[in-house]
Amino acid sequence: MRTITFDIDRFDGTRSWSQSYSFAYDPTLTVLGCLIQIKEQQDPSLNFTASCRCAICGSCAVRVNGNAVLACDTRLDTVLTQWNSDALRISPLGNFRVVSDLVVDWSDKVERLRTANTGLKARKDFTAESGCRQSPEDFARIQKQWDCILCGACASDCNKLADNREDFLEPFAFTHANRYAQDSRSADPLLHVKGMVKNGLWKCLHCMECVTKCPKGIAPAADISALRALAYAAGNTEGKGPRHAAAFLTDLETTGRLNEVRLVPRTEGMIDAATGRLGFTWRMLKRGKLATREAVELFLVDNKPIEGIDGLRRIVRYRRTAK
Amino acid sequence: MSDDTQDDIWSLSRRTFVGACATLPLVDAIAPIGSAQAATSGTTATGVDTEAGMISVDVLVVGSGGAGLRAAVYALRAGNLSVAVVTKTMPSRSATCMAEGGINGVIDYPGQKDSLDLHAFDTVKGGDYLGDQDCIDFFVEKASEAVRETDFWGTPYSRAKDGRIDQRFMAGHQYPRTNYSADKTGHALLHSTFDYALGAGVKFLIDYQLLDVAVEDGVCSGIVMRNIKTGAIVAVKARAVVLATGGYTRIFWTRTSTPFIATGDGTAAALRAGLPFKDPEMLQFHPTGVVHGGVLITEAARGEGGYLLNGKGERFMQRYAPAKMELAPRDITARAIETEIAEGRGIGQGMLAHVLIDLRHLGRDKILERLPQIRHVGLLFENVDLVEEPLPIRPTAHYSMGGIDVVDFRSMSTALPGLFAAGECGCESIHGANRLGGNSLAAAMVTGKEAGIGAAAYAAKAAMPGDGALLRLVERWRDHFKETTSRTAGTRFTEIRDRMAQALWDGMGIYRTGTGLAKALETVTGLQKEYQTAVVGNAGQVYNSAYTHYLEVGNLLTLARCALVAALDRRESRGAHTRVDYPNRNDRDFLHHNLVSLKGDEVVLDRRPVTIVRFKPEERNY
Repeated sequence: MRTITFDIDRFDGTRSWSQSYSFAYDPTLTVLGCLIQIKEQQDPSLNFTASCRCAICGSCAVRVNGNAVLACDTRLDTVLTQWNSDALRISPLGNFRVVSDLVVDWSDKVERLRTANTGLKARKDFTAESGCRQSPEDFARIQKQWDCILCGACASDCNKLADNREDFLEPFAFTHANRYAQDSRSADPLLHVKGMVKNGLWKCLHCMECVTKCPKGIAPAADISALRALAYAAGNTEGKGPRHAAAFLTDLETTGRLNEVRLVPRTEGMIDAATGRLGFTWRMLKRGKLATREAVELFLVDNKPIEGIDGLRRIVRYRRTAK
Repeated sequence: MSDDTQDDIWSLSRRTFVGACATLPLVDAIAPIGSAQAATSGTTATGVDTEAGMISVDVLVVGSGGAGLRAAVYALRAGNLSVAVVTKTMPSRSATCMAEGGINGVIDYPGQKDSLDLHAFDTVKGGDYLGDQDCIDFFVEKASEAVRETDFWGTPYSRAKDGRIDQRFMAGHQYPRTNYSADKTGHALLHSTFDYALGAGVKFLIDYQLLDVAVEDGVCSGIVMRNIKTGAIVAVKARAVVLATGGYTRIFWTRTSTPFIATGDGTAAALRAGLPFKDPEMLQFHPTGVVHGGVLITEAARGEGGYLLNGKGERFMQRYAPAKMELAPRDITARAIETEIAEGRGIGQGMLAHVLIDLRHLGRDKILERLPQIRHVGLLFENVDLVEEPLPIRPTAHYSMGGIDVVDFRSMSTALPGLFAAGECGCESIHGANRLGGNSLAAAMVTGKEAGIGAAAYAAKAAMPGDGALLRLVERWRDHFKETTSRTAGTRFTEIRDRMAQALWDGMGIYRTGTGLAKALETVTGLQKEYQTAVVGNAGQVYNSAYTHYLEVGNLLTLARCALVAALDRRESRGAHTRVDYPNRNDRDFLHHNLVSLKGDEVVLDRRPVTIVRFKPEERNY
């Protein structure tokens, strides 16, 4: 008989340990089904959370071999095949305070979400008595972001949060802000943008883990980009983040190729780049990661424009003028 | 931003509350028993007295589904009152988010034939004349308002070409009046209301389990709850309490569409506080749940034009509701499916017997656009793609029409001064003996709002109640935890739960008989005794989910027994309550609400006439 083993990260409030549970393979089980079976047949002290069991309430996200999944929405077979192993490590979500075993604390996450200024502030021509009007196309523009079930998978695997949670909100918070910013019923998109600049809008690392892990197929990183575009258009052009984005666009438009030698001074300013990055540049030159002649050329002359640059420039111009 | 390595929930609440909402200093109103900050008593800007050792708040809402969130927003809007929401889980895990089809409300579109009167009539008839008609008139008007208001609050509704909210047909309605958001309307409503509540400054106490409602000198004095994260038993003194804890169809544990957490905690607590449980036998079976586990396939699947087919490939609704076909109301459709299975025209055997729902003729695009969630559920539980093949389905326990007896539907107050009930846990009665599709989200939005307003109005005038009953309950629950979790020999309580579910499915399912109900009552009463000595299996304090669930099962046993007593007494068939031995409705003897109460260990039954206003009871057929 084929046996499956879950190595579960346990925590009882003071003590942490890993505990193995084995059970008979059953192809109809989901990861949540396995956890329920373990709790009811082997160990009632195992703690996890689950509610709807059909992927709409967001309670049961856990990590399987370090990757966040919605337990009820993940067939056992899928992860066994994915990892090519009959033993899996089950852990609580990352970037959350663990309460016990697979249970994480949402209290402070809810308060952090509150800072994303949620809730529609509707246009002046709409009232609570009469409701709103919205075209089917405008509804479709926000529909995906409304699929968020607050399961925490994006937050769990976010590399920026792992590095520092003090200056960045959970990816789902950006998705929440963007669904109001992009809503044609909103009085002013900037009501949902300004606060996010303070909440780390320009600090996303673009690792795309949130996009990969969302069980609903939402792309929080794309919501961050959309909010950045709104912020930039509204005059939020100073600071490293906006300047970094502008530098990419400049390269795209002038040569079609990224000039990494100019990127740093453009992002950080000449003085900061010169004082802060000199040692780094020196080490790169010394190790042969950067050729002196190439670096000088790039700094003084820039790349040669790529073939078809005119077409690229037309695309950039079109995007600039398009609403 | 906050440091989430903090262990102490109270300092966490304190910090997050300060950060989140400086305008309403509930902070001073919420402190643990015996803590240092609680000892510094005084009056805050909101007029909340923080007496030593007791958390106090003006309006306390228990439950964070659609009804609870609406109640909290409206209690807060009343101004100058402290409001807190106590919730067993993270606030967005409720049954509301699972509602798919839509929210009913007649919107005043020029030139339309629909009207509030017709919505009221369809609701009365749908409920087989057990609903109170004055309440239903009030409800349909407020439901229309709620749809427009939630649109204004941000609910993302699907739209018609002219920009108005799109509406779909639901079974039992004469016109399309179900406003929707794809097939995730409950999810959209819950999250937009949650977002709005966050923005409005509603405060949440997350991971607290309701244990009991306290009664002091004849008024509700608050609740006793358990901090699941730490195991601490905590009293909250409140001028007004709104129970919004959802329904109790989890009594059918293995065959229900509702979430694990919807265990009727508030209804059971209200019963223990002496309140009647109204119409507990009225439990709705949704005709279309997946065969494995009972997760729902929304009624919108039929509303959009899906066919129900038996083993012979016949659209068998022809035999039961020739005019409405698949759009017949839930009770009629559920009985039709069970009859097909019983008479051998189903597919498969035993608990896995089923019929099919076929959507293929709608086409891939329509399924993907309008019914993406049910396609997903089909893939997950049955490994069937609705675009390619029909899906096996069978009825599943879905909604509790019965609930805590609400005596004034305008304020959602109960017979206990200071205690209010909203959403599925209350019974006003809007749905009577059978709820129409799309009326549950509407009821959650309407009754939540009215309970919030009612509780705030009451709290503004009420004195802060005394502590005596609260402190006695705290002691009792502390002892209860020690006593129950120290047991090592006895039946596993989850086994009791599953035996209860089986007994109820067999005895109080879609088809009921006097002998079957009596047998189920005997079984459940026996299980209640066995439960008293059952093993929890975990004695830990930190997030002891085994003990949480042990208490839930205890609540379900109490509620199941009440439902059985009422179902036995109702010797007629009405709405969802189908007695094979009494197949007809009997208005002469049973046009009344059943009111079940606890007197010590006994369950006692009382009756109250139904309020009839405009619509005289007539035969209900479609």
